[in-house]
Amino acid sequence: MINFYIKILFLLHSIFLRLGVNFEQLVAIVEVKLKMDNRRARFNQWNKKQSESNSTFFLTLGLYFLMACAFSAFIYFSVSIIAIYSLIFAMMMFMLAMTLITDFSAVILDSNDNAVLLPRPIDDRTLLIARITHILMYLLSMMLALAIPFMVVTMHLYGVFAAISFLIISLLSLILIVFLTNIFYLVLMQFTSEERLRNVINTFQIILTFTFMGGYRLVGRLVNFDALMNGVDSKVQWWYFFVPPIWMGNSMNVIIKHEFDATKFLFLFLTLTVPFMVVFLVNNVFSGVFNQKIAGMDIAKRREKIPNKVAKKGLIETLSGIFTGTPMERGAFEFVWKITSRDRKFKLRIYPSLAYFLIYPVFMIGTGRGDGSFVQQIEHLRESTGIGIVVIYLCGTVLLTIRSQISQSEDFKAAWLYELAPIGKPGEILSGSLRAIMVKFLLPITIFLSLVLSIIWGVNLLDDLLFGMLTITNLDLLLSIGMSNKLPFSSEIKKNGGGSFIRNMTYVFITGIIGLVHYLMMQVPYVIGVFVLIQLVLVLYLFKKYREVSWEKVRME
Amino acid sequence: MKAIKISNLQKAYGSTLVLKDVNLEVDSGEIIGYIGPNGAGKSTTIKILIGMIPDYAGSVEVMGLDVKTNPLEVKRLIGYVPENASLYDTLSPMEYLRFLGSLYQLENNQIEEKATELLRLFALYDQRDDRMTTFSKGMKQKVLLISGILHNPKVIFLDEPLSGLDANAVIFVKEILSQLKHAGKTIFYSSHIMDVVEKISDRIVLINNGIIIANGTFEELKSQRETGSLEQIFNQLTGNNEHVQLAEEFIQVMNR
Repeated sequence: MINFYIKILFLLHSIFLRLGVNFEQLVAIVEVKLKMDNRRARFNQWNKKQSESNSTFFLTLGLYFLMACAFSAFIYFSVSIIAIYSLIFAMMMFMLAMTLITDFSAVILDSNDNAVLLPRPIDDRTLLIARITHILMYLLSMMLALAIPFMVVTMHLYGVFAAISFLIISLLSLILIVFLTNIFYLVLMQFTSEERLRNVINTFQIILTFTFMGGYRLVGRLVNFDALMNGVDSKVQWWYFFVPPIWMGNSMNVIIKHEFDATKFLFLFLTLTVPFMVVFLVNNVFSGVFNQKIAGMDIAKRREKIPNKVAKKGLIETLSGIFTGTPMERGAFEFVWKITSRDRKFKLRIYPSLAYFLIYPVFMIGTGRGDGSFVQQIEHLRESTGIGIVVIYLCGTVLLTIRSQISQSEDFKAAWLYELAPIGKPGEILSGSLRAIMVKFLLPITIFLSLVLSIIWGVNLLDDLLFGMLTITNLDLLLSIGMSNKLPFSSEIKKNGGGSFIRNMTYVFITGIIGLVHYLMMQVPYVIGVFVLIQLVLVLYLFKKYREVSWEKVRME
Repeated sequence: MKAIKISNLQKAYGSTLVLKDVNLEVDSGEIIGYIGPNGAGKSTTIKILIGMIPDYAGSVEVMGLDVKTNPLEVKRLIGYVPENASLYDTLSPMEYLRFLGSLYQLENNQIEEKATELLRLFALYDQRDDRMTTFSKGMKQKVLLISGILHNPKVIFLDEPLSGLDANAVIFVKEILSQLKHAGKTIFYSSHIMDVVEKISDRIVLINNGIIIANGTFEELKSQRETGSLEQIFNQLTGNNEHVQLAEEFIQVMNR
């Protein structure tokens, strides 16, 4: 695999020389980085999990491929070439940008290189371009996964030349995105200090991720699809010149329909030249500054004091005092609470899903095709309490998401203290951890939901809400007591956690069935109320039992 | 009752025997300097003694308790200060110590008092609420030191405890070790810094290739070998006399 990538590099030999980089050094750096990534992936195999990182990479590729296949069908239905291709490029660029920002900001801003590479005679350009090339290699696979279905359809409809042009333009868009992101990071670094930069990027990633999840609905509103598809080539608006996908969509038009006019030509021109301009900018102008900033990141990190929220200290301790019973449980409660507030990477992992679940109820209301007023839509919903149930259970599975993430951390090596300390019943730690999650995450969501639900359905569904949340909690407790657990922040971070995917799916499946049963039970009055009481008792009992979980049921890695 | 009693300890990783036949006894109040070349089995021995590796052959007792059958009790009695270990550094030292303390089932207010004082003594009082991500190696090592003794253990295991500490802290720690000893604590100290080991240890135990090849006071070891420093004795015992020659070769290869 790696050799294949390296061979490609050799093919592009002359381009690199034109960029003014030291080619031998670049190849060496890229090769080593690829090797390291490979090993990080394979290391997981030793832990008896099936090569998770590797396979999830291919899984993601497969997913993208399928998505693109589905989307490519639209090419057949669209009369307007500009419209459909602009959309396609927009989608591709967006997905690539997303992947870049979420997965690779760590790679771009990697200050690990500093210790090894900076003291050596490598010039700034070579280093920066090497890093970027490394990233490009990965993104290339993704881009191909996305582009190939479209290429096939394009070839079928419009011929080989069009298909190849599509590929070329896709590559250009990839380059554009990567280098633009670089500039973006650079600009950010100018305005914020190093440590805050990471926080800013983090927040940005979160917003981006959750926009992506919920945003597609918004797009449907903003853009009038029907008109677009049916070939009403609307007048070129001024802002089109700032949107790369539109340039590219127009370029495809030029190529396919051979419509040569000034504006379209301009778009084609932009498509072909801007990527290179950006590369030039980054390479010649920014590389020095960029590397300096990254080099400075390590040191600046030390000098900065992140002010501690002394006020919160009181709050957490009060809460831990209320919700926990033993010293160890209390310690674990505070521990989990604090780290979930502070660990950047953790926040990035869960906040998007959290936000998604919060948005869901709101979108539920706006599901209608924009017809009827707000109030009318609420009336409409009142009829179907089923949706309310769905929402309840969906939000409940938030618990599941967080649970699976809690055991993972970048600092997993610090978990040696679990083995050192005289912990007789690790269940106390697990229980403290779960309590923290519930008070910190589930409780606010439940309160929020109760507000939303009462707006629509009045007090009717509140007991159902309680029932749903309790069910999920009890289910989780039962599963945890019965199956194996991991202590908080004790294992390595696994991208997309392949193995627990199955566990997650089973969980969702079971909750789905329970939701159904719930819905049926709702038809009989008072049943839910009674069961809520039963569940309350059950939950208290199970929590006590959870404390007893022994080391046999705990997995350390 | 011996503080530490190891008989016929054997530990294999896969098919390799890391510890072949270790026998050792330590009295309470002794400071043992545990030395040996890299890979000799030092860390493994310590980890077995503190109950982190439950899988071994032979008998290991700490304060009269068998480590295999009574791991919890043993863990309560011992303290461990590793070298440059990872910490959950998104926490502040106070928070870390609070969490750790809770794992020893200490109450919050107990920990609070003690930890604050200890941090102050180590000149970390002003940083007690700062996140440890901003801490230097030495500062983190101080926190690790405190975490190793916070619960008042009877036997303390230290693995390169002076690593990363500045001169002031080094003197301070040496003094602490000596006072701990006077308080009746047993100290098991592993290090590569021979002159420190030489000066502070009551007894020196040298392990090589999974067995203990020397065990006695510095004077005893000296009289057996007729040479000056511990470093040289170490060198002799672990059988390596070619350093001058090797160094010359090293420079030659570099110059090629």
